[in-house]
Amino acid sequence: MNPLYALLLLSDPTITTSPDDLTAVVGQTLTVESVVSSDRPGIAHLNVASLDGVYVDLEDWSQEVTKAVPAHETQLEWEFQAVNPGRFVVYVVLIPEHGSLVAGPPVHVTVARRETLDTGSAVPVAIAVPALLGALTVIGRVRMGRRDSGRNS
Amino acid sequence: MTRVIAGQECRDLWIGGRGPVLVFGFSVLLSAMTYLAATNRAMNFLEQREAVNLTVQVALAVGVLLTVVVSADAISGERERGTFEALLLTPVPRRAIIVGKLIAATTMWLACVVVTIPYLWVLGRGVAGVGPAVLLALTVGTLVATGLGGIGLLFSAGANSNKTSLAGGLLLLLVLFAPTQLPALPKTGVGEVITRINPIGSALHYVSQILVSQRNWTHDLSYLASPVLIALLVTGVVIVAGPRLVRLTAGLK
Repeated sequence: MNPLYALLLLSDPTITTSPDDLTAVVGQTLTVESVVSSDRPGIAHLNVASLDGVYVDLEDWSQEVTKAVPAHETQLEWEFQAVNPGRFVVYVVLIPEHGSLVAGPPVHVTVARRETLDTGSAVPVAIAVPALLGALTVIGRVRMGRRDSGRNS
Repeated sequence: MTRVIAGQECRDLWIGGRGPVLVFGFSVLLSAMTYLAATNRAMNFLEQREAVNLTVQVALAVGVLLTVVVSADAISGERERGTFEALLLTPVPRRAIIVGKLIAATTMWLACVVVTIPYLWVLGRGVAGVGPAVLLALTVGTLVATGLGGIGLLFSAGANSNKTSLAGGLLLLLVLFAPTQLPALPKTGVGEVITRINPIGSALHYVSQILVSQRNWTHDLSYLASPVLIALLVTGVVIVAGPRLVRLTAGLK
């Protein structure tokens, strides 16, 4: 068979993803499943984009963002952690050996803020600990000085 | 007898000694770090875990530095101040003197751990980082502090002057700490060997793998071989060679 003709017979790769929407709080681990159907092997890549203009460091969100995809239908499971609050879109892109990229449908992820670090409790600790230690140091020095002067007199 | 010496050395260090001043300086450093982290509005969930890890690492580095400073002064300092003769005249085994001084120097590290706890509590709340961070500081940090504090004590016993002993201890720490600042060191073959044989580098790597990468405690346990080995070896040398090291003049004769 003519290789060019065989290439035309190959169907376009498709990607389906589930679920369509996810909600989470910061720090929660989420899972998205995708099914990649392709006649040729390629590489599937997970991407995260912010809809609020927040900078997304993909390395923070997921340890594994690329997976090899053999020919035919492959089911992939993507685990990621919501590290920023806001509205995001998670999607899978197939990078085939030949031809253009194929993007899957977006999964809308809404991440609610969770206050884990507040200045209100940090400032008292940042002031109280050195103040307490400083006071104990001064008291110790004064008591030592009095004891020494008592011995000398 | 070791307990008596350790108790006396602890009193000398903590009641009217340098201990409280050094720990006060240590707390000021941690306060500045905690304030900067807590007021950083752009910090995300993972970066907060990294802030806990950074606090443990700074506590370990500075706490061990203070331990080495105390231990490097323990014998050579007493020789220079002229107080060592009186100690040698007491009916106490010389092994008890050197082991007691090592125990007293290690209390400097334990005090640093206690001071670090409130800062770890502030930074680690909500990211499940407080308990593991305190436990890691206590276990891994104590191993490193005992090993390097013991080396500082051996420097102190062998040095003719206090300046030489302190300089030797600080140089050792600098040499061990510098490779930990090289980027991606454990990811190369040679780099991993350097990290594994360096007690500070391997301890910091182990801590970050648990606190930031959320690895299991047993996953990178082999990285603790160097801190454990050095702590055991140095303690063994201090106990075995102690009587010959505790002398009015420096060096083995």
